[in-house]
Amino acid sequence: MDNAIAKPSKKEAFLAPLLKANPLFVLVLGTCPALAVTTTLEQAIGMGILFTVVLALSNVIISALRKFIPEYVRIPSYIVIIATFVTVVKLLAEAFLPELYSSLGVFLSLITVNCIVLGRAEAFAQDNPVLPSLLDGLGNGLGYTIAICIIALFREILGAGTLSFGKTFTFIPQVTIPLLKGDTWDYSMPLLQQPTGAFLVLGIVIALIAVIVNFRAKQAKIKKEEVKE
Amino acid sequence: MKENVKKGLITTLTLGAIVLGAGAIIGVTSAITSPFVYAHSLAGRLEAVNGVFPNAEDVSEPEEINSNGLVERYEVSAGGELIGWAYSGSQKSQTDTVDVMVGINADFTLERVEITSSSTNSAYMDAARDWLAGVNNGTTSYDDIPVGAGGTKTKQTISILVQAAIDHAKANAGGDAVSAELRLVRNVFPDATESDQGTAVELSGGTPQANYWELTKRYEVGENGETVGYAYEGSINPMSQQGSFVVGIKADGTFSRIYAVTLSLDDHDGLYNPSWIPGTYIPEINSGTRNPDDCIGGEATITAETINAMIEAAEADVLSLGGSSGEAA
Repeated sequence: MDNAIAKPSKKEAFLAPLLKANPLFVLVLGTCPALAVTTTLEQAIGMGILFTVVLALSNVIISALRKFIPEYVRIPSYIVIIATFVTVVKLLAEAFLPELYSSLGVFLSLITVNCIVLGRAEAFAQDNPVLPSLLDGLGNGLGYTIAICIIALFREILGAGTLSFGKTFTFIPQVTIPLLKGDTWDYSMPLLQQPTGAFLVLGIVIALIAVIVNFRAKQAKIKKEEVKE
Repeated sequence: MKENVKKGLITTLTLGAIVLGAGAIIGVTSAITSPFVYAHSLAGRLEAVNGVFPNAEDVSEPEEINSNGLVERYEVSAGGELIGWAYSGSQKSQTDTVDVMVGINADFTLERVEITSSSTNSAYMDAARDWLAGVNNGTTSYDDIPVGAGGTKTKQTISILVQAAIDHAKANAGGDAVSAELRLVRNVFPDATESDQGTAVELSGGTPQANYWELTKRYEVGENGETVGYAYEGSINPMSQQGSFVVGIKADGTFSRIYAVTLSLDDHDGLYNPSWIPGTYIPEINSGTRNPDDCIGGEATITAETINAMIEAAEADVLSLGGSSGEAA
């Protein structure tokens, strides 16, 4: 079959999802958990790590089995593979990171139906070898992690007024840094801890990224025209 | 046709192989993680009952009760033997909602009571805490509530929860050797030792409106060979409120206790306080501080009247039997 789309390099497969093709900020995929698990930075880091593990492992297995899975059963097969890794990650989190497991709740199971995971399986892993698929999974997972961490950072600092560590990852000492909220003063905006606040932060960040991307594109165009002249 | 069969076979084999592989991976992971998950879960349960059974070594998964203010029950063991049960309970008091953990020993005596949380820290609550310190160190009985010492209603609420826990423990102890009928009647006659299989009865109607309640089954209850009363299975459904009960009537036709097996009450758009029936009316008629027919002016009058009508019908039925038969089945 003549494939018109050029296959990305390994470097591109890993780096593009970090910013240029960020699954959350640019492609606006996986917004539901991104809004739900971003009330604290620790929670977002935890979700990001688990998500990356599921995405990378699913991509690897789907890529390895791509020649054995018939076209007409690929979607149910992918879902079973993804659900398996989600279950494995869930069991591991419940055993070794119980606080993270409780705080993520149903959103951990919902990774199974996250459109980024199935999307990367369909768009990349089923057509590419194992190593690029692994890098694509890691890149997208990392891009998603960075995105939800940015949202969480805004929401925790501005919404709760503090930055806390050690509550979800109990193996590190508990520290709460009072940034906008102290014993006698409070400049936090609790709205940002609510779902509404999550939408606002996501919208603002997407807008900022669009501004930066457009500005850079414009600059590049001007440079190109200058060179031509 | 042949193509379709081939396709079907390939689909089945592919998905079968993937599912088998998935099952193996999940099985191995589960085997590795389950001891850790159990340890976390046990630690959480031990922490929950630590206030009432500090020496507990093993605590069962909580059993849901949701009746008479009791929420959950844990079976507590130490040294491989059952040492008692821990009950979590929640009840509305004068101004506070009091959440408690009640520890009941295997011989049905009170071990300790701990207030786990309260909606406010009023002076009532402070007085109740002082009283509870006496209960826990054995200088005061849980049903000895001094009048005028402050926090009377809060103390009564805690006392009712303790009594409910003791009654529930008695009713549900004994393992499989105790019949389902005896377990049922012990909810209203905690010291019952015998019960018959139950007789179908058809009693319904009453006030305030017809068919708001019905009694369906009557059990003769005995203690050591002596008939002490009758337990009735019944239900109510006034104004979309629903509940099923066990009503205990002594052999002389007077009310003993009532136990709500299930209750589904709503607030009728704020016109009605659904917690008044399980939180105030039932505990008070069971403790004898309120007569069952004292339901006018409460916060759920029609439901309380229906319950009272059902109790009165059970009392009348016992009297119609001509008193006790003297020997339980």
